[in-house]
Amino acid sequence: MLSSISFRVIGDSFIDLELTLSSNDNISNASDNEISDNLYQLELTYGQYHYLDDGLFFNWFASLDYTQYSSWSTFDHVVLNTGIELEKKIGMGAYVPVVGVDVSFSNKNYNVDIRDGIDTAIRVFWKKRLNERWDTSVALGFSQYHTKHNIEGDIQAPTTPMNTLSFDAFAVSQKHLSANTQVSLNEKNSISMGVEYSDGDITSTVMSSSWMPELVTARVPDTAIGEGYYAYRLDGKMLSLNLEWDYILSDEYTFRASYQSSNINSDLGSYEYKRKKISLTIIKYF
Amino acid sequence: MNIRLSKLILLSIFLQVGTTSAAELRIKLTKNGELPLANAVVKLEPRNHKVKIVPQNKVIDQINKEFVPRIVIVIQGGDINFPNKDNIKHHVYSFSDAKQFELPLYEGVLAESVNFEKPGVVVLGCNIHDWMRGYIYVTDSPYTMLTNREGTVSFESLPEDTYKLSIWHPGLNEDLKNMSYTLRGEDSLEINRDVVIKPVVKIRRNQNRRRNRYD
Ligand SMILES: [Cu+2]
Repeated sequence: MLSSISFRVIGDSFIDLELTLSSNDNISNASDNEISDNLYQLELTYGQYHYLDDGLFFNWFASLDYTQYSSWSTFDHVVLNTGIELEKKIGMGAYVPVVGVDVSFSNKNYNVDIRDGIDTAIRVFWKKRLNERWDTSVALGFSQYHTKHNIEGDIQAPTTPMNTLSFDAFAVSQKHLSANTQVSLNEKNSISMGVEYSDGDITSTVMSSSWMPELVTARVPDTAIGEGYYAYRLDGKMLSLNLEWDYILSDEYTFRASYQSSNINSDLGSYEYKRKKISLTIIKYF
Repeated sequence: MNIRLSKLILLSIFLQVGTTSAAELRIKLTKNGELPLANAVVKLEPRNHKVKIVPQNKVIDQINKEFVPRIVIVIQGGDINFPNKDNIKHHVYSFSDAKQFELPLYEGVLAESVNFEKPGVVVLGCNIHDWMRGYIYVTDSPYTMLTNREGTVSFESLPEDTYKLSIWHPGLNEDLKNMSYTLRGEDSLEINRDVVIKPVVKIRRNQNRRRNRYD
């Protein structure tokens, strides 16, 4: 197949800028004494779409994203994100299935560097436009977060087995299964609904005395929250729901309101934490 | 996927044009009770007299990833050329019964045109840019016109006869058949007709981008 590809640039490029105001009711993924905060996010993205040949598309993008927290400035962060995507239309026309694979890398730098790291994600997906109004997709993915700083801080272990634990509580890997559907209500309004199931490591920050040591796989003092708080890594499952409403203001501007709700459960010890995020976004297309 | 044939002739009105001399027929279309309906195809088919069909060639450009014009009438037997005026490639296709064809990935002006022999509606798409939609109305009657911005068409010097009137538009959402009008001997007739047009939901450009972040 590759031999038939002509690598002439037959592309489209885009630049867009997103300004988002969000409210997150559990910024540290706590199971109790949750901390909520408002976030301001500015993101600039550049990308290109290329049509190679034979229904094969190659797309890439790079974005720079700055997030500021209203109260918890220790969580402020900058993300440099880049991704490539290869997709193949199975047949001709707008309504044939498309299969593809994408890979993305995000370099995250926080104000307090304990969470700094590089996120790598790979995904295979299938998508199909059912008719003029409905789009649907399913994806299977794997993501891994590598932390940048090997923290050997002075750990005050609440119990002795902790001393043999890894400090890399923010280094996580997960498998993901997601499904998404989008409906265009009319020329201006569309709604997107998605569900995602993840299985793998979860990180939660709590007061040190709250958690059973035999349940966790890593632990580190969470200096972004403060004295006495520890971030723990456990094995768990997550179920997330996403709802998004897009309103096209003009060719250049779109307004987006989104709601995300996540339920995370540890495999052992029935620990649970919940997170809800509501966001309002203005997107400017250049 | 294809435009349904049932939409093709949604409104058939039988007209008896005056018996004395050539007549003028003016039709004004409005959509959903208010705005003029532009770019609707209005076709008259004479019941008794034969008309000579002279095919004409047309051009449909691709400009800024859209078909221009979006709706084109071609008399049966005519050719259409599809120049690509963008600096990227397009891949034009049709799956419609009236004409199935494909112009694989090309740039600039193609030497060959596409011939349209069979009456009906041909829906055009581009395999690269899914939102691109164009419509060709292949007609077997020379009395076929598109409404203008005011939603009107005027047929002048119509020979006396009975005419069947058909109206087509991609968003027409109405099934009005065999509406008949009896005309006396007037030299001109004006028909005002309101039709129901469903909003055309355009496939959005470049959607589903970057929905793959796990955060
Ligand atoms: Cu195209």
